[in-house]
Amino acid sequence: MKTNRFFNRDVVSIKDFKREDLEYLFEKTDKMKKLNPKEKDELGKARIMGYLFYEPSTRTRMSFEAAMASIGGSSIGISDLKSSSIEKGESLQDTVRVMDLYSDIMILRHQLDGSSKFAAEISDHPIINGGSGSEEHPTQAMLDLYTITKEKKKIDGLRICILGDLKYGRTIYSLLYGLSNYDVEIILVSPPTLQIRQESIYGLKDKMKIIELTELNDTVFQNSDILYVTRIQKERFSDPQEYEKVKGAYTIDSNILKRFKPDISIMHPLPRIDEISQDVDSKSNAIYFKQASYGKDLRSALLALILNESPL
Amino acid sequence: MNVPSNKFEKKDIIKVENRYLETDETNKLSLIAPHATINIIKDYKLAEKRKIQLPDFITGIFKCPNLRCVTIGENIKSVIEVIDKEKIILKCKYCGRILSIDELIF
Ligand SMILES: [Zn+2]
Repeated sequence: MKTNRFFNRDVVSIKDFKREDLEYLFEKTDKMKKLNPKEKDELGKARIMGYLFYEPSTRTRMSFEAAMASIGGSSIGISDLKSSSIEKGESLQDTVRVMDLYSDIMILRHQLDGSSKFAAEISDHPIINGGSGSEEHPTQAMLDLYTITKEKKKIDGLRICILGDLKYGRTIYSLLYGLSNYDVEIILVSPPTLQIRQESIYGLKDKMKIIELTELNDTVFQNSDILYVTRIQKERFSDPQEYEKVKGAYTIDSNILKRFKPDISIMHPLPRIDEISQDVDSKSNAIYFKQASYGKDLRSALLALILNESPL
Repeated sequence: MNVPSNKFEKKDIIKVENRYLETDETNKLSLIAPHATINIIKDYKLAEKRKIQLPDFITGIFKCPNLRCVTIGENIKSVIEVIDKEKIILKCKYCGRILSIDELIF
């Protein structure tokens, strides 16, 4: 029997996964969707997924929990810091060690850079990074790429515009590194104060063409195949008026949508606040809810592959 | 000490007495003085001449300058990876930040 390439593997950074890995994962995700409930149930039966969420993220946690349940496994974990020992000062090391004793696989979300890498070193069971520090969220990048392949039937050759807070948007960095495995062009659009951190995209500009803009203009409208919108948070602005101004200039509504190519696909990692207005939701261009659904499928496949030696 | 040199005009010499330096100890000097040579003197005779080499990893000497790094926040021993020995480009093993020598904190 051939061992599948994800078996027992940690998912710490998107940088650890090559194009072949991603394509393998996407193929297995497709295949798994076709299994009947009974077959799926066997993949995670009697296995426990532990989760430690040092930062609140209902979406990511729910997605992983749904994914684990769909392959017949169960979940235990801590997502409310206030009521746990972590608040009392227990080290990350100790908390990870204990959770490692109870679970077969662990999802960790933590505010510090490198926390998952560290956790992976000290735990016996595989770790999946559910978002760490300022720039790693590998499974979000994987599901974003999977969504693109499902909607556009390819990734190569696409022009992808990423809009919003690019400085603090954690998912952006992982997505860019994921995209760098493909032949794509990137257009980044953000307010001047929220532009991408150059030190965090080391080497990326050698791999793909990246255009940086501070406003939506014809370059964006005429060229983009995908518009990936992220939230601009109020907390990032010291001046509330400045925030209102910026917010208005970057909001996507059905009017501005008309200026884009008719087949543009609009993505968003969710939760969305008002950066995409609700009148866009019913348009065929809006794929952000499908994206969340693809996310669950992809995470089910990822969990199944890490937990089972045999390929799906 | 400042003495004449054949290769350069002058060279500096630092003398460490009554202590044998292991290779991984002298390699640590490479970050400050990448072209230094180590002469081990035993019983008044030159016992060994060593060219300094950058190691693949530097463990525990420096702190990662990224304040949001897990090694800082959780007080873990730092591991700095040397990804380019010629240009001396370094990378924190944990947070992945690319670093130059000047950014490292003792
Ligand atoms: Zn670091």
